Amino acid sequence: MKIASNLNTEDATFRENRARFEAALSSYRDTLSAAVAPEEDIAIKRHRERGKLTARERVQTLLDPGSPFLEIAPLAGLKLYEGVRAGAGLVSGIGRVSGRECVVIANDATVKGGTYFPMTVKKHLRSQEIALENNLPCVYLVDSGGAFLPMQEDVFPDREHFGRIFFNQARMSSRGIPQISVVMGSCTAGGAYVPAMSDETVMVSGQATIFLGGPPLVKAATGEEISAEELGGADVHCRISGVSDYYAEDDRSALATARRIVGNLGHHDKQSHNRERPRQPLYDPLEINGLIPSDPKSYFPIREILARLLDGSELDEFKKNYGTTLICGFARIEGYLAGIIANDGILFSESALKATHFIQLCNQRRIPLIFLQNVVGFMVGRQYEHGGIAKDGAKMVTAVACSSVPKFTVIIGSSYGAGNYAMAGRAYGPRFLYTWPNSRIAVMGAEQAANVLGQIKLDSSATRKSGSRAALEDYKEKIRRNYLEQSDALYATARLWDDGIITPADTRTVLGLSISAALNSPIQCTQYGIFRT
Amino acid sequence: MASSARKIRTLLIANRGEIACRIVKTARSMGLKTVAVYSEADKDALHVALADSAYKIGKAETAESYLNSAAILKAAGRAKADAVHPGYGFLSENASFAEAVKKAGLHFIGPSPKAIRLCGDKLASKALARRLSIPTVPGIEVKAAGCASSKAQHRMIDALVKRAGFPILIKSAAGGGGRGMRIVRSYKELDEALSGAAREAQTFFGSADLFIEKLVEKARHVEVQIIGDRRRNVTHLFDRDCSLQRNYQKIIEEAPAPALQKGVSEAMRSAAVRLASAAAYDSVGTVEFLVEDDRFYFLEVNSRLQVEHTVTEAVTALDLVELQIRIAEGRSLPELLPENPQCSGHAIEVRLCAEMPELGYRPSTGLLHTLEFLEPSLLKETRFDTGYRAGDRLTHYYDSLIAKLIVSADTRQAAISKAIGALSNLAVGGVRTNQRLLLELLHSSHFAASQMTTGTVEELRSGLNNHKAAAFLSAAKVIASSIYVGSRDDIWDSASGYGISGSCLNQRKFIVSGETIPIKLRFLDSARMEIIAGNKKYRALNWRREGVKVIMTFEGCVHWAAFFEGRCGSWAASSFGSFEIAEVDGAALRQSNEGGALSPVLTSALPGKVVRIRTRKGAAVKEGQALMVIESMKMEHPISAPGDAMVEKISVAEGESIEAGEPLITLSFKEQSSD
Repeated sequence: MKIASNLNTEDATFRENRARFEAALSSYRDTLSAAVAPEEDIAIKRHRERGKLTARERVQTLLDPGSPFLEIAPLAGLKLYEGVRAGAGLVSGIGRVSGRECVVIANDATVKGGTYFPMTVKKHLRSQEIALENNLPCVYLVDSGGAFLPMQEDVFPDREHFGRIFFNQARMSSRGIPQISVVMGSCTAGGAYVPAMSDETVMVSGQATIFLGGPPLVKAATGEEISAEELGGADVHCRISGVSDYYAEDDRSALATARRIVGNLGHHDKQSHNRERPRQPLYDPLEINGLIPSDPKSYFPIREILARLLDGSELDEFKKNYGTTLICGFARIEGYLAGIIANDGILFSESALKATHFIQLCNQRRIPLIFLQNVVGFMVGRQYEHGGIAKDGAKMVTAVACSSVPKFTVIIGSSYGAGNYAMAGRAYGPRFLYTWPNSRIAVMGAEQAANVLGQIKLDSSATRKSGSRAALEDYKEKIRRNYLEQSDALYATARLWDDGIITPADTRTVLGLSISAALNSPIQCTQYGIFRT
Repeated sequence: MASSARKIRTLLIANRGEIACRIVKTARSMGLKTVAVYSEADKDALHVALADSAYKIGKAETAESYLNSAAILKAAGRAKADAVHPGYGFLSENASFAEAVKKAGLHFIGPSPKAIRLCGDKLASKALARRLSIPTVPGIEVKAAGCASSKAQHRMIDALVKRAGFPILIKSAAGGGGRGMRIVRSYKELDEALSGAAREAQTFFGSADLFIEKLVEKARHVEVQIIGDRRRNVTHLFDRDCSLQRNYQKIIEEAPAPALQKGVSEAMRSAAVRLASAAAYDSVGTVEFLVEDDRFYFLEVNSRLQVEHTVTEAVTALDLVELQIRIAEGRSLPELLPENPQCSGHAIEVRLCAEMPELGYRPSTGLLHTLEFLEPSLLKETRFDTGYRAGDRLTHYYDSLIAKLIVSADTRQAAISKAIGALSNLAVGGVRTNQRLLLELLHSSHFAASQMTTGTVEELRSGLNNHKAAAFLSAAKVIASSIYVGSRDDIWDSASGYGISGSCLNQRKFIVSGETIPIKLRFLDSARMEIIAGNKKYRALNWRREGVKVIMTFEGCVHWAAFFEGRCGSWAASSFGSFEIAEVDGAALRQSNEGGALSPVLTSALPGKVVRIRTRKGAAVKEGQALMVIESMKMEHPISAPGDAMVEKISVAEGESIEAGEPLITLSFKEQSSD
């Protein structure tokens, strides 16, 4: 069924919303370009003088000409570490190499020597997770000094820390997910295991070194004096040690070699999928910019937005008149058939039951699920608790958690509380999770949090005694500010709570590429846990 | 004259390459047996394979094979040939050879030795022209007998310069075809040019006699095809324009000569017939003229079949080789020709040569691994005269002509389009050619407007660079080599160029015919890209594949390229011509970075023979000074000092054959020692 749009683009509210959203969008783009196209500082200049390409140039030269690059968390680490620009010293994402979709993970040696900060580790592991879940070959473009030593406690000892990188490589290799390294710079100590744990490794002569201990450490330990090149250069590892398999003269030829390696990976079948020729929506996706209300309390016209995201603006809505605060239906994005679940208000029992039914349908039919999150949570109050909203919500959460079809989540507005769980938040393992720049994520809204915490404080005897209304307001304002700051999309993406911020207009393309990437791994049968009835 | 009446049964072809093959074709259609001769280097050549029998006549060097009349006559005897066709070049204008052939009791397919001798003597033929009131270019003869730099000689040249001014042209009095020609623009260049021309004249034509004349630079070269029989009948078969020449060798010819001023054509044709009659010319031949507006000057008579005879054949529907043979048998023109020979339509010939125009026409040798029309249907519409097949080797011993493409159509314009279509669709791989230059000439507005002169090629060539073609080919190669680009069904194609951080920028580096081109391809979306080559930006749209070709709209025009791999590298045929193209790998990159220091060991880029050494061990030499002369593919190439230096060692001797890259001279660039 076609969704009819009633939008009047001459409407004052629309124009006001659009102006405000686009101003926000342009500030987001400035932040992004400072990260991905930084000014040529001394580190970049030196890097180039050595004849090296930058991390981003390496990635683009590795990819097939014109290949899209589905980048993962380009703003990871934003404002988190002194002197480290957003991206956390890593460029990673999915692109096509020799016709095969691959995860590419490239160290940026111009950011603190490519060393691993906590968010660098997290981004690396998240990229590997994407490779693992979607059965995508990994190409590591290595140019890193290893762990950032001053922060070793946050990058070394724990389960999801540096060591996990090599654990993942071994496990992926065991599952037949190719692990390919191109060593283009230093690769010391733990870092040496990236190439050493790879299926195939290329080294760039005169640039790449691999050793467990570098020349200073060797001298201190044994007194032996040796240059880095003699200790672990490309010649050593391609001719003497066998640590590396291919010898390259420079970045470009190393990347050409990597392309050929991927070309030789052999036959690969993608999951077959019901796909039709993609059709554009009937309405311009750019108009979404004016549909997003400036005031989060205003109505969010989800159907108008769907009319600008779905192929041909068509949605075959399931249970349209039941549980109306959650829209479920079949639609196509970039030609791919998907089950769409989109919030249109607060979640009720009926909405949760409808979603549970719909998710079961999609799993049965192996149709990917797309969650468009704009949820403040489940309905509260006596009537609803008595009606068992907790167990109905649990059914939906169970269905989401157990789904084995690929799930894709886009936070297009709010993502609060249990609504985040039911709508496939980060913890529920969507294959990809993206946010729009206007999105907010927190356990609850800032206003609500201020009220709840204010009430608790008021209830505590200490405050009652002091009795200052102004102090309470101060306290609530602080909570509000904290919540606002911490629920901001940039704050979230800096911490890798998502895979990146995308614009409404790019959403179709990003989802299409994400679905295509996910189809590299076969869709398994779904087994659910207990549905409490 | 008894032998003249005899019908020819077995024809020996004393030549090689395309002309030998072409003569075999006609001879066979006339029912003659054909005999080929070949040098050691040509034992697997096409003309040997085509002829009914073949005889080896000597080593690769032309002096010992195709110029060796004794060996050729011996072969004729063994083959029981009753006629010899000399083709063009080699012994075709050698009166002594013609006499020897006749003395051996064989037909010589060509004019009488007397006519050859008269035409070959430029002074005598000019004198004859003047007697017949045919205008000639001012000039003088310098006999080799005197000292090469005698005072008398200089006085004569002085007088000529005073009369006609610089530039002047020095050429062999005996030869033709550009061999041994030198242009002199000032007194400074005179001595060097005189000695070089004399040496080449001696080598190629057996006489160091020179001819010096005023150089008419911006003129057209028009020639009249004449034909005479043994009964003193002479007529013409219209004219040809051969103005497009490089180093005095024609590269594009057409018939009839277009857009001549009123009356010029008729006057020239009649002059040519008068001259041929006076010379008792009794075969097919050519009278060459220079044309400047409404004036024309007689240049010379070529007493042989011309390379470009094919365009005359195309517009007259006559077979000139057959006519030559019939005339030699004693048949008369009234028997052989229609009452009023007609010239209909327009024909163009282009000469594809293995040479590099961008490097001063340096010859390109090696394995010709590809020579084919991408559209096989073109073979039906195009006359393709060649002496080579794919897989043959081009050596430095012989000239660089690979093939002639001849097309004809009702109008000149249609013939030009046809020539462009045929030439661009000819894929050539393994050796570099003048294909791009030829295409540029065919596309040029000068040519379209019939405003070409003998200077046009050089004007166009000097402005010719491969930058645009290289940018296009690199982009096309990237597209051709990426497996999936072009299928719009996959989102990874349809979302081409998408990236959260901006469009995809692919950086590559290619070597296109020796020139390194770094390019960046910015894919704006799935149908548009920017190609940034150096500091130039080009736009390309709608790339796609059709059969073997990658087609795209490049800078507003539709261009195409097809890529093929050979043992000798990767090649592309394209609407810009055929090019060698390779993506730079690390090794090549390394090499190109090493251009800084001067190499102390001088080598030749070509295989060939050392004809002269102009320095000795221990000599101090200046930058640019010619130290040695190498002859390769019948052209001389100097080996010059790359900087001021001392000669440490000379590794070869005069007359020695050398390989490309072989060390010739070792220099020392060190400052003169302080003691």
